[in-house]
Amino acid sequence: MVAMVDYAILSAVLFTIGIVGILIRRNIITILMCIELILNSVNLLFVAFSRFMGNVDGQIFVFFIFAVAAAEAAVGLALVVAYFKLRETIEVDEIKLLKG
Amino acid sequence: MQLAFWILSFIAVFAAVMVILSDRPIVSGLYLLLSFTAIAGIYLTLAAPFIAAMQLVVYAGAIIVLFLFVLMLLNQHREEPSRRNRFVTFVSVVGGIIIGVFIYLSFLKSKILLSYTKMSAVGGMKNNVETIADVMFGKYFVPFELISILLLAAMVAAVFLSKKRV
Repeated sequence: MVAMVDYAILSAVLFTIGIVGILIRRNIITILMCIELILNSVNLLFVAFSRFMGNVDGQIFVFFIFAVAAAEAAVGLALVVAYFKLRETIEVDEIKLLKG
Repeated sequence: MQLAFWILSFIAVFAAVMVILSDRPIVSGLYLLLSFTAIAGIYLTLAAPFIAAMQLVVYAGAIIVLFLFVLMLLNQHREEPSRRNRFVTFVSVVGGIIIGVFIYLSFLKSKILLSYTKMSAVGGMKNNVETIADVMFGKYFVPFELISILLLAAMVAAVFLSKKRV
């Protein structure tokens, strides 16, 4: 039988991979993908807790997180497209428009 | 079911590692799709068919398509060779792994987490969607309506940000 702690550890591993990805990638679209990975690991923990505790509130939170993730991806990618039209780059090391 | 969990979690972790290791963003996006699909399978082992379907529709369907669409629009198919200091990259990887190890240890120390060794008898595949609908349109009705406003605001923001400046 798979215990709760196995799901928790899987979630922690995916979260760590997402954090490391954000730190090492330089393409801003890949960084947004890593943020989606982190949101997914949190969703996994929510659903696991919901199942093991026997109420569906966790699954409803996951539904809300889906909506927030979709909004975040849409606005983030729109910002990327707008910046690309301005500066012709999506490398995070080159993005320093606000640097004094 | 145990076998399914281990296979799917292996696929999910492998695909997630490939997302951050491959140097072509398109390949990263396709591995992210594989990871999301495996996680949808894990939701099925947790007896959450509604969430698994939403994962496939929203993440694997909409969000990945959005990512790949923007990647092809911007035509940036390969990362430039890094001008970043290798030491900085190494330190950031170690820092990220330390954060993960702390989360791992805090999970292993948690008595509440370790006390859940078998799934609750309540809930399950049967009537999952009906139960979710009852709770969502009862207890969580106001947040549900607010989410629709959030999505509308995000849509307006995305259209405004990507329109041509005059």
